[in-house]
Amino acid sequence: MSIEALGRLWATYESVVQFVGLNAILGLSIYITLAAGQLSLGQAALMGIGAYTGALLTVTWGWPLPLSVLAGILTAGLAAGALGVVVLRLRGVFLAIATLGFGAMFGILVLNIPLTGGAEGLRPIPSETTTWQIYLVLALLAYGFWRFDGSTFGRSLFALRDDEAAASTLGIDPFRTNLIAFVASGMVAGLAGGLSAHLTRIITPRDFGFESALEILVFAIVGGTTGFAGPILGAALMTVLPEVLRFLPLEPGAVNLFVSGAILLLVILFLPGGLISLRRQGRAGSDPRASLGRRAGPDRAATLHEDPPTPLPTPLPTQPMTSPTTGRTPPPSPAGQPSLGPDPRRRSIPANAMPLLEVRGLARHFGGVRAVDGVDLDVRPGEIVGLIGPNGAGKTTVVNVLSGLVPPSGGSVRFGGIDVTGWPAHRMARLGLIRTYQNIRLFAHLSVLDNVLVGMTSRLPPTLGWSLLGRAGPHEAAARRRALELLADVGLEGVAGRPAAALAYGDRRRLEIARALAAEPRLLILDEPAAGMAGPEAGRVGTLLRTLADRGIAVLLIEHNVRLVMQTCDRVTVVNFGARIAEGVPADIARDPSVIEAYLGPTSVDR
Amino acid sequence: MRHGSRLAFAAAVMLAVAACSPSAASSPPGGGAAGSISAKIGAVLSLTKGAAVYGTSQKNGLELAVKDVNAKGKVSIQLVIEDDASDPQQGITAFNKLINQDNVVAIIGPTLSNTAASTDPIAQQAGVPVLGVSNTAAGITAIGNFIYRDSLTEGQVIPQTIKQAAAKYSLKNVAVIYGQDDAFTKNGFDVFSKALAANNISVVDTETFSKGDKNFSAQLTKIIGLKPDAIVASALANEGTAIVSQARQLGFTGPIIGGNGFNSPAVIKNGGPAAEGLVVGAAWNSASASPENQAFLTAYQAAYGAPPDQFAAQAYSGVEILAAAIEAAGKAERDPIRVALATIKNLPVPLGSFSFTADRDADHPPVIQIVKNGKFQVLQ
Amino acid sequence: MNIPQQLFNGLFVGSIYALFALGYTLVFGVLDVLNLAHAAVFTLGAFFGLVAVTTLGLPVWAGVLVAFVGGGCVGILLDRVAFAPLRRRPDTHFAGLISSLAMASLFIAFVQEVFGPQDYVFPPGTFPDVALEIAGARIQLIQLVIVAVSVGLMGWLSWLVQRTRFGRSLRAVAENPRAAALLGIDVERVNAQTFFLSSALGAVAGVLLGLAFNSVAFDLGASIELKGLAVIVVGGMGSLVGAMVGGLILGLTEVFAVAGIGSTWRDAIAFGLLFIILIVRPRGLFGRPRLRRD
Repeated sequence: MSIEALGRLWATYESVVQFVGLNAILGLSIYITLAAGQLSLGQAALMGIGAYTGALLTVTWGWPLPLSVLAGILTAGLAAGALGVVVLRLRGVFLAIATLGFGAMFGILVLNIPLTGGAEGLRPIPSETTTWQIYLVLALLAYGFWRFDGSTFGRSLFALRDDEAAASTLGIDPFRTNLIAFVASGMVAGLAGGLSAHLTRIITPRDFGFESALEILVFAIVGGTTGFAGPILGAALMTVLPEVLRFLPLEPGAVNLFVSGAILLLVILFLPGGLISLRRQGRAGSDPRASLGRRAGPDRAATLHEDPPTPLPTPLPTQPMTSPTTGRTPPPSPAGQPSLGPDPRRRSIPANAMPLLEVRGLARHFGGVRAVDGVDLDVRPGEIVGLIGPNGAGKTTVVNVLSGLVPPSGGSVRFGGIDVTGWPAHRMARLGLIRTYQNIRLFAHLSVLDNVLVGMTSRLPPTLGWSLLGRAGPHEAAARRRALELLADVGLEGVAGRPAAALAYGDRRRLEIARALAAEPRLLILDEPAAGMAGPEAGRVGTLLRTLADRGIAVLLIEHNVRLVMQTCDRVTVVNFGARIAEGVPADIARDPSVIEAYLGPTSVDR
Repeated sequence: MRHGSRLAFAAAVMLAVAACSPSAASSPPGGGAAGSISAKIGAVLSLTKGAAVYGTSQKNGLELAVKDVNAKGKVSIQLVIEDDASDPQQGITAFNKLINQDNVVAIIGPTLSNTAASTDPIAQQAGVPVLGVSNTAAGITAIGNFIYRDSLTEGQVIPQTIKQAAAKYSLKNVAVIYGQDDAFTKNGFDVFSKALAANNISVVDTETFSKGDKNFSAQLTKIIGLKPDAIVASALANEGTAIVSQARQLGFTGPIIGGNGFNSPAVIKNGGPAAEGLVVGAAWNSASASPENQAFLTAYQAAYGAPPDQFAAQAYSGVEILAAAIEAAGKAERDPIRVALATIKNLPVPLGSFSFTADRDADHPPVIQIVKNGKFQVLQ
Repeated sequence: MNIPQQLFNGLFVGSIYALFALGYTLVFGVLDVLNLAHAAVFTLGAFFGLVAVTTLGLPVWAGVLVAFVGGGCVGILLDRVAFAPLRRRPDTHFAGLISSLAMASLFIAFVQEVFGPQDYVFPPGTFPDVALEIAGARIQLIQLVIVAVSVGLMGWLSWLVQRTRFGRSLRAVAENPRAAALLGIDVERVNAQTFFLSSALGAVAGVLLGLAFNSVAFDLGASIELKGLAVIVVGGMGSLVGAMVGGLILGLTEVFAVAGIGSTWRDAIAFGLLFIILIVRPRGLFGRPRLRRD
């Protein structure tokens, strides 16, 4: 092909290349919110805000391109922030619809403001954006996204996407994190808008309507949302596609709609991770699950429904605290137990101190159901308290209320002398109240190491700046070292790079405990940590808890395994029908008639 | 990696093959007599999404005209039609393809004025003449000396319509309804407003609607309650028909006045008896007895089994105008065609006796029609 | 202002919104997914009716019946292709949005390929062209029929859901599909039936709208898509009564917005209402709190 022919080819397709770049930037903008598990259909309107701001400044006051684009970015970011403050308490479909409503309102506003030119559009806008500018911006963004994966912020987003409740009980503030993501995504959309307005010479409200909003979403979905390369790939494919179809010997017409619809359908049905999942299938174990598994619910409580029970492991891991995956036994430490680094802060707390956790008359009603109805509970530093009761007694609800996932209907909770009644989960976690889950809630798409690092997130200063410089930074480096130590303690250091979802059942339990310890708990609440474990194994759990308590950590243990509770706990509280029926040292509890009755006499206390 | 690279490779191959192969043409080089001038002309039309109904009509008009022109044997046109999916971005890429890859000597289109604002500067820069056949927005031909159009703007049609209707129905006050989210109907509203003011007709109420609306009863009830002498509507055919039907259902008996958007047989066919008495100011007189128009009506009906609308008539005329310019230029080259277009004077086409103004806009008398007995007739 | 006329206008538009929303909200109520192809099924339904009446020469009631059955079959197709395969995936919710979107674009492409982009009308006299004058309001017979049909359908659906065996299975599946399966309910069958019913209703809504405005085109659904969404959110997602009341509220608000404030802001009011409801009462006017378990 001659130089001249190449030149023609470039002249023909330069605009396609430009639109690929612009659409890739748009795809990245929705990727930020999708990374946090939020579906926003307001991207087109945010793009429009950037486009109109930039274009008006250029056309009316003759601002130069970079300045007016910058103004567009800021305006769109502000708008996204304002929108986020209002809509971010919604989730799933409801958030999508609210943002869609925002988009519709934006369109109506533009039509009614004389400054914008209404339906006839704003024109003529000088065509100043060049191909290299678009790709410079795209390259910078792509670099930012690449680095962002390894920062505290990136991990917080992914953790929220995988499991919002688990992330918030590790100290991540869902609202704040989502809001930052929203603003960032608005700014990127505004950037795309400013660049695009200065390319197409005219902007009209229809360019930023419902269809465009869906189109942007399609870029991200077709490409995949598990990595920043996905939306870029998706944008490239969907933008080039109509141009390729021009060459098929077909009458121009509805066939384009057919092909793009069919591609979308095939991807969502057979390639839920999008195009980039093709590349990933080779390594790191395929991950057939798409990235956005969130139930719709208008409010936060709805996301707290229980997951399907985790299938019991078959076979049960024979060696507790040994990773079947690595086949390694944790390094022996004095008591044959995980060696946890010294923690002077904890040790300074005297064992007979004031209760760390004081619960009085705690109640939680669901409609007419009194799931918890007047529970009192004290836990002191260094003490192991058991919370037992028959199935449905309200134990898990107590834990959900204490950890801040569910607000109490009544009663008071004090932690470390502070009244924390009704505090949200992330604030409880930052105070040092950390919990695990009965059904194990790991961040399935994050690596084992990243799971532990998420546990530390709320204790680390933001590391995004260092990440962008291409370095780990001192805090990140220290955090990684500590995380690897914790993993070594539970025998998982050999699988640090694997996705958490790929672990065996026993390993997942261990990882969840390591993750909780990474958050430096003052009070550790364990919801049935020995579920599915055989006798000797459960015993090891008990020894681990004792080690932790000896270091001054308060432990609240919810267990069905009554033998474990009796052997390990200093004191035991028994609840039934939402209320406390007994409290005392294990020996007394075992003799308490009301407890025996609650457990229906003959029922084995050792299942 | 495997699948990903295969896909990328396939795309690259398709692009490369596409780049090297001659482009698909929707009509073969005409079998004109020896000595005829061969010309490859591009057209960018909205064949899918929002404006598909107009683009499809234009495509019919263009293809019919190419057949007729080629049959005459003086110019042999090869037409390459591209779809812009009612989207300026795709319009831009379609223009670039036609200009650089297909090497067309002129481009007809695009369907929408807003797309033209994006695409026509490209053709201007590349030195390719463009003939808009439906762009009515202000400032399109001001983009440059390569940009022409054969479509009368609302500004060239409506003032006369209002003047004539005002005299005939002695209008004192009217109510206006227009589509606020469409460039054409919004522009029509602006022109109507000016014309009404110029004729000292007061506007008792202004109502709006959105593209795709089916129900206008709330707006019309409000309008009818104010008892205007007439309703003035700036709408495209689909919404326009519904407005007329619903106004009659709600008991409005006065005249209803519309612009170019109403000049479609669909208004009469779908509106039925409700369309009777509708006054339509338009660029094309479908009832014109001129031989060019009659031949066009007959040929169109024969080819597509339905009567043409104004979009088809303007597209058809556009091909004839381009063919005349090519003939006058004596060769199918871009700049000579541009020069020759300016010399077109009183060319008989279905639109009437056609010339260009000095600003490359269409220049031919508009028509004010009224629907009578299920037909458009010239308003007397 | 002609208040009786505007009241009726609002009632009529509201009934159309409600008719569209009934099927929309049904699927959400039972399967907890949003079917974005509902507007496309609505359009398809209008064309089923049109073909039945114009090409096959059937009477109008038969056209509605054809749309009901045809739409229902499309619904089953939709379920099998776009929803059933995703059911076991953790991201059902989100994936369902996307796959139904894809199906919608396939349906619309099909309609445009077969019928082209132009507007179609029913032959004159398909529905008796009778106008009534009640309390100063001019009312078309077809409009009255539509109001009656949507109220009737809501009643019928409520009866179906509350009082029949099918309804019991439906509610069981809505409450907890796993538990329903344990109780011996064929969940997949109930899902398919739900889609049949929902899409059949959507298709009937399409025909009736086409008849009322005597206009059927490929973009028929686009005009009602977002409004329908607003209605089911305002009424409470999954609530049949909510769909009806939400439709009427939206219809009346729109009409009185036009009459009182001005038509340029009509849609802003519709979406403003949507927005406010989502913020103030996300479960909608008649939605149950979505707290299945703690």
